[in-house]
Amino acid sequence: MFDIIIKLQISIFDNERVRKVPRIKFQTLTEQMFYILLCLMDECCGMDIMEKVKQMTEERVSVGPGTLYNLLENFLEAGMIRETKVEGRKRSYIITESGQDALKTEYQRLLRLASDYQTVTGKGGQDR
Amino acid sequence: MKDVKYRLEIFSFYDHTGIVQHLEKMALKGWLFIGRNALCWKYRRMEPRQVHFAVTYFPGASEFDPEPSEEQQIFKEFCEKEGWQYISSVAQMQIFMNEQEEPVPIETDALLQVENMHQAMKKNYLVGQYLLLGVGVLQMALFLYRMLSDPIGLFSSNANLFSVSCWLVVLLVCAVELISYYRWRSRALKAAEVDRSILATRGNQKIQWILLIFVLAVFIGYLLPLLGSWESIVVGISLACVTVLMVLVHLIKYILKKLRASAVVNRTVTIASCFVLSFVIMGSMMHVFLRMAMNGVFDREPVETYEYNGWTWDVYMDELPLTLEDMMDDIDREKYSYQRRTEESLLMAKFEGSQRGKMTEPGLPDLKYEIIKIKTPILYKMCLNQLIRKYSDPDTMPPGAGYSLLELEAQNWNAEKVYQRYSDGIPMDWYIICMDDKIIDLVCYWENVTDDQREIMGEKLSVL
Repeated sequence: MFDIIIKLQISIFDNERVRKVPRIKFQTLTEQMFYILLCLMDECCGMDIMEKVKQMTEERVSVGPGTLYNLLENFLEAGMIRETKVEGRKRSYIITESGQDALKTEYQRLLRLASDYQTVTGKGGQDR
Repeated sequence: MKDVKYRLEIFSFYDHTGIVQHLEKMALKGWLFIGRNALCWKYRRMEPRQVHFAVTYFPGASEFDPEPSEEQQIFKEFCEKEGWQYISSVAQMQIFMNEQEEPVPIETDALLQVENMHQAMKKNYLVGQYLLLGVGVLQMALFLYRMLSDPIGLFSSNANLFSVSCWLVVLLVCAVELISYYRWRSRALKAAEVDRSILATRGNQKIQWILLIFVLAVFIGYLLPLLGSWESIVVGISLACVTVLMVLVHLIKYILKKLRASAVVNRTVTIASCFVLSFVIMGSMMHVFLRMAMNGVFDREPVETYEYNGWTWDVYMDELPLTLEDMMDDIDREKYSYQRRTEESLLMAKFEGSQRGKMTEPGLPDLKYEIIKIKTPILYKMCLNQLIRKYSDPDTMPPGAGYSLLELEAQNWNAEKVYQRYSDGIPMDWYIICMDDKIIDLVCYWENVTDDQREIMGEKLSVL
């Protein structure tokens, strides 16, 4: 009888079916997403990524701990990173091929932007 | 001087900006937020200084978790890496504190923050608001139905007005909360998509405080006139039962948490016990009140009683503004019961008076009247229509008769308008008398009411 009650899972006031992490589209990567994936080109503990990003960008880019936690969950779900090690609560990750593709696509997009900038400023910028 | 204080704080669940600003202001005044219980937020005295707070939302958290989940622990450790210490939580809302001068915010991605918050809100807050809104709408619909069908009964009772006020407040609060949240979400998503900026929230604290004070004022206004009467005891017992119910349900949840029952078990047992305890406590309370009413505990003591046809009949000798003795000579008071009842609210007063002959004395003239004093002119027509409908209703008389109301000469009655009920063209001695701010529903149980008697009735009843 108690098992039946437990299995009923009255979820009106605490809906377990709600996604725990919001789904974010990864067509265009934000700076924070880009640098997190870049850090994970080498195996890295999740918590250390915040410091690594700061060092990599000379403190220009900061990733909040809440944002980092959520993005790691999103990347895991999207298959862009995978867990390599679990030591207690410390989890290490590394980028997957899918993640590398996304990173490369973003890099090429940024190169195109830079190239377009040089084209415009190189020809017309000096004259102005 | 106290080192700890408790405060009742009212914040919208999504108003993280407001909460942070308030907690940081309290810290600058020398009070550090250290946690909360079911009702109040707890502060500890400290040296006034700048402390940073952050409110974030963890959709995976639950009010029923025996302890923070593994995922929550990991989340906390992430935050601790940047100096954010966990202080307290309200369901999915997590509150952190940081003593560094310029800490990295917990949330640095606007779109992620908005979506995260929405997941947390969907988990129980939004569901709860929609349910309450639905119940509030239903209550207002019932109120409107009653206002159209029985405005006299509705507006002459302070208890009804108090109940309507409470449900109106619930409806307003839920509507304002939902509209504010979805407006903020829409603007926050646009801001996040355009320039990735995090939009501050704006809660409805002022409105909620005003509405809370309004409800308390209405409650005091309802309770004060009742002090000393049986009704105040009934209200007190009802409040006590509701309090006991809430305490018991929270206690069950707390015990299950201490016993480390899973969130699923805790939630199921707590909600089930809430239903069961509601039925048991409220059902017992109603049963007791009904038994007391049937035993005449709430009734006034009659002057005497007598037996007739196996029943016990009460006799009262209340003061009445109009009696048969005012209109007839040979009335023996010993053969009658004089009874009055009054009910009054801010909007309306209802006075019922009746002079009825004892059942052991058949054939005596009887008199019954209801005086409705309307304090709010806008309700006058509604109340009059109710009485007109009542007298036109064939269910109040044997079937087959045709009923109508005809207007009489009002001068005889010292009134503005008078209607008399007719049945198949035959006048009955049932009248509706319309005066300036009163409507009188009068029934004369004797034949041939004279003009003099009408004048006396109009004069006597108009001064009440």
